[in-house]
Amino acid sequence: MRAKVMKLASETHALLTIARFGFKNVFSTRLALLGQFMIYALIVAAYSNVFYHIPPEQLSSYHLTVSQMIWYIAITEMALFCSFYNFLDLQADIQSGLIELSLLRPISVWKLKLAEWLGGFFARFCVLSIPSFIVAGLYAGSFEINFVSVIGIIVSLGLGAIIFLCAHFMVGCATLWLKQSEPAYWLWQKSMFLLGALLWPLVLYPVWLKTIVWITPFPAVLAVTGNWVIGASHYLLIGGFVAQLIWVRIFLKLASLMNKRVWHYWQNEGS
Amino acid sequence: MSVIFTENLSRSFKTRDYAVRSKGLKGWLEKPVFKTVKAVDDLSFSIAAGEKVAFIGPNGAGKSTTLKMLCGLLRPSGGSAQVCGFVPWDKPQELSRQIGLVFGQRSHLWPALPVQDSFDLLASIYNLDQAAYAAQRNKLIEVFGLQDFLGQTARTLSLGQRMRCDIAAALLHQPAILFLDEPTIGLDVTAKALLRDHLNKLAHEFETTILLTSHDTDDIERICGRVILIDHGKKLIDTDLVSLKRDYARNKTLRLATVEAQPRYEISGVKIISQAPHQITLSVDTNIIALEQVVADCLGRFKLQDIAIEDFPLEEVIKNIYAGKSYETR
Repeated sequence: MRAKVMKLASETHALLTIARFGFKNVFSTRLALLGQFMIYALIVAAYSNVFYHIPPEQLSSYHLTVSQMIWYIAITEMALFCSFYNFLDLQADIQSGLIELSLLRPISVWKLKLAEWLGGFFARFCVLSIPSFIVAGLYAGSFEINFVSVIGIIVSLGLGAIIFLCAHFMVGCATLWLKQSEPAYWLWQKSMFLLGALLWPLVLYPVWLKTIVWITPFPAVLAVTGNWVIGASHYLLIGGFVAQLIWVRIFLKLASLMNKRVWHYWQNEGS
Repeated sequence: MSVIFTENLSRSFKTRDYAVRSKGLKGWLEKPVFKTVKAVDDLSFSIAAGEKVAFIGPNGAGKSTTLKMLCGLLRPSGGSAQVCGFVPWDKPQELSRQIGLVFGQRSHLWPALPVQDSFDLLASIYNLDQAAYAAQRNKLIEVFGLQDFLGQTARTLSLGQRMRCDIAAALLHQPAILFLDEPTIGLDVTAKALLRDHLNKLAHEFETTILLTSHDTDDIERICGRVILIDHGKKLIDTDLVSLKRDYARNKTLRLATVEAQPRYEISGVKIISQAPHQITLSVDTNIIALEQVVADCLGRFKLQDIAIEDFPLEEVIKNIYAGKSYETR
């Protein structure tokens, strides 16, 4: 038992060190961060303009306001911009064979990658969050956030990031079978945009689609975080949080299983 | 005590045979045909702790495949192996604490990080004791001369510098065995010579067992005491370097500087390699004529200003073995 605890402690320490490296690494690409923010601001501006053309009475039938719509897309897009094309990093490792060195380390590749990517995610959040909130506030003309919703957004964003990054790990690993992981990423990305409700809240979806969407992991990545700025009921917020916890557990397990599959493939097929 | 032990280790790969595919659309619709290629075939050897062994062979001989099986990266098709008491492919992550890996074209270092930070990161991953890590790191910095570029990011290092850092990175956790796969590949002559000096120092200052694969015989001569020669996955020779040269280098080179302007020498078993005014270089086949006899003969025939006897280069020895001139499976 003591040995297990010691092992867990040392592994956690190592993973935190890796996450710190992932955090630092983001700041070596400051120009990319600036570019990301500018594109983010453009997207929010463009959609704000679209939302202002929707008659307010139509939105109010869904208990929504234009301001909430703008804040919603600002939050979901921010969640997306804090993430990155991490799967490409793994794809490059697999294609170059560099993964062999990572596989032969005492800590599993999936844990190392996840820690590094989470560090990067957190770094981007630190840089993008406040300017994003300001941009959203400027376009919406009001601030749809308070202390509780900010905490809720941060927690939801973190849990969503774990699901998102586990998915990226699996997409990256698909390189082994598909030679290129982009097709797998394309499927994941498009599903996330549509079923994760990137552009507008799920409340605007047809009932049948809403029902289907809630049994997929996609709302747990984006919609649940966005719910904090659209005045969603406590029932929906808590339900979303529970869904995130369940999907985090499932995705961590899937990433660990994928790691095993990678080992199995590598040992049997070679590079 | 053996730290590496293999018995009848074999590994086959199934590869698509495109040669039998029809041309055009028909080829796309046909069921693919696969062929089995034996990369390693019944390989048995053992390596004692502290030994420095060269694992050599031409391209496709099965060197890297064997190395990957010994690291646990590949599962063999047959046979068994133990490395530091582990069956490598069953416990690769446990084994990883006991071995260090250097693949010529792949780096342990994080490109965007200074070398020092990459070292610290590896120390965290291997959960190294801080004092032991600091001592080992400092020793490696000294042995490999890394002081000047510890603060540089890995992506700004030259290939030679990066390779030295990589070998140091592979040794940070004080592995019992170091696997070096083509460490000098792609390096220019100066960088190669420098790296060899460092590896030579490493071989003498660390107790680590080294298994080196290389095409470069100079690497082998500087670092290893034993040679395992393989071809088509089979072991051809397993002997110490001195015996290899003695048994397979039947030719010796004799360089003579003479008073005579045009020295000429013709005798069975001796070939003239080059000739210049007051100079002649001979290749003596010691299976046909004793070297002592040729030297005595030359001393009688010429007024010598200088004489030098050189071994046949190892590269030529290996080339001859592969050409079947001295082929012998031991």
